[in-house]
Amino acid sequence: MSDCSNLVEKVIEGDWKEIGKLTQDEIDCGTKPEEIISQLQHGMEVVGEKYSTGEYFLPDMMKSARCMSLAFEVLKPVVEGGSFGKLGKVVIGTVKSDMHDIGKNIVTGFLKGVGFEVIDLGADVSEDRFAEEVMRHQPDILGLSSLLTTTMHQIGVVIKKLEETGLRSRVKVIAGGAPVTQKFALSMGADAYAEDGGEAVKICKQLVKQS
Amino acid sequence: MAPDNSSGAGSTVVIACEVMKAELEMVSRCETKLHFLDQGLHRTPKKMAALIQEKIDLVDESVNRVIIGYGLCSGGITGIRAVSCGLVVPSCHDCIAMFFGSQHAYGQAFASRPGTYYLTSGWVKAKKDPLGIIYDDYAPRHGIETAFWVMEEELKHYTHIALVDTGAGDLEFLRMKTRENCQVLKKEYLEIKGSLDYFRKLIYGPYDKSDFLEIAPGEEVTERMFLELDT
Repeated sequence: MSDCSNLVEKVIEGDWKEIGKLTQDEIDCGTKPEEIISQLQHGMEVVGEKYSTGEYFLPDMMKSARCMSLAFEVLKPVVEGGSFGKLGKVVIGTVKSDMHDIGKNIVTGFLKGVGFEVIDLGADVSEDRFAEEVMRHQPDILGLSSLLTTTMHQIGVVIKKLEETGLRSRVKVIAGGAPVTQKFALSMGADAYAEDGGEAVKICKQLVKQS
Repeated sequence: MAPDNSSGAGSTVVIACEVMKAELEMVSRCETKLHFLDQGLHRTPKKMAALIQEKIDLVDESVNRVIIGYGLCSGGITGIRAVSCGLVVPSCHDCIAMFFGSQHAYGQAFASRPGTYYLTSGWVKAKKDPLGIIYDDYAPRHGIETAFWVMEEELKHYTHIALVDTGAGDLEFLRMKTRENCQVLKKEYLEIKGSLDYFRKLIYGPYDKSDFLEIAPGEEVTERMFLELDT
C-alpha cells in the first residue's frame, strides 16, 4: 500500500510522461481505485489553488488535467469492473455563444474517471440542443458550463427551455465556470453549483442520490 | 507613477489597461491625466480590483471624476470605488467592445460569429497575440510543443482571427502579424474597421447609458450593474 505521494506530485507538476505507469504501479500494489482517485483529486485541488493565486496559469492547469485523464484511462477497467461501477448518466456542455471548453473538459474527465457515464455535447450548445439531448439520453444530471460574463445568463435560458418542454423535473442541473457563483447558478434555477472538477464529482454523487 | 490632480480643479483622471494606451492617447487632450496598468492583470481577475483600487486611492480629493479604462473583465473590476468623487466605467463585459466603437457594434459581431479571436494594436504590441503568447509566455516555461498544444486547445472552437483597426499602430505590421497567426493556427483572416468613439466618449462624454456606468462617490462597482443592463 502506498500514499500515492509520487502520483500527486506528478499531477501538481503536470508531468504526464510517467503518470500511466505510476497509476498502474499503485493498482498493482493494492491501492484501492477510490484512494487513487481521491489522491488525484487532491493533486488537482492544489493545482486549482495555485491557479487562483496566479502562481499557475492555463498551461499548468491543462498539463495537470492531461495527467488526470491519462491516469483515469489506466483506472477505467478497474473502476468499471469494480463495485461502484456506473454512478449515473451526465449530459454536459458549454452554453450558446461560448467557445470555451477546457474547464468543462476537466470536469468531464473527473466525472468519467469516478464512474459516471458522460455525454459531452461540446461548446456553443443551444438551449434547444440541450433539451433535445436531455430528451434523447434521459440523464440523471445536466451540466452547464459558461466561461464568460456575457454568456452565463444562458444557464437560465437552458433551464427555462427544460421547464417549457416538461423536462426540468426529470433532470438535476449543475452549473459552473469561471464567472459563475453558487448564488448566480441557483438564481438561474440550477439545483447546484460546482467550483471545480473535484467539487463537481461530490455534488453529482449527491444529486444522483436525490434523484 | 501615482495619479495626481496637477491638472487642477474640475479635472479627471483616467486609470486604464495598457491595451488601450495608443487609442486613449490618440483621443485625449494634454490636460487629461492618463495612468496605465499592466496588460497582464486580466489573467488574475481576483487580484485586479485591489491593484486598480490602489491607483484610485492615490487620486487627490479635488479630482472630479475617475475614469476607468476596463470592461467588467471577468469580474476583475468588481468592488472598486472612489470615496470622494464619481467613477465612470464602460459598461461592456469585454473591453474589445471599446475598439469597435460601441457595445452595439461589438454585440452584432459577436452574435454573428462568436468563434472570433480579436486582435488590436495593443495586443500585438504586447505580444499577446496567440503566437506571441505561445513563444513569449508558454514556451519558456513549458516547451514549444506544449505551448502549441495549449494554444491549439484554447482556440479549438475559434474559426477566425480578426484585426480590429482603430487607426492605432502600423496597419501593415498589424496585418502581417494577424495573417501570420491565421496561417500558423489555421484560422480565417478578418479585418474589421474599428473606431475611437468609445475612447473619446470615455474621457469626454456623453455617458450614454448603453455604453457607460456612472458610479456615485462611495458606491462600489458590482457585477449586477453589468448584468442588469443585459436584461
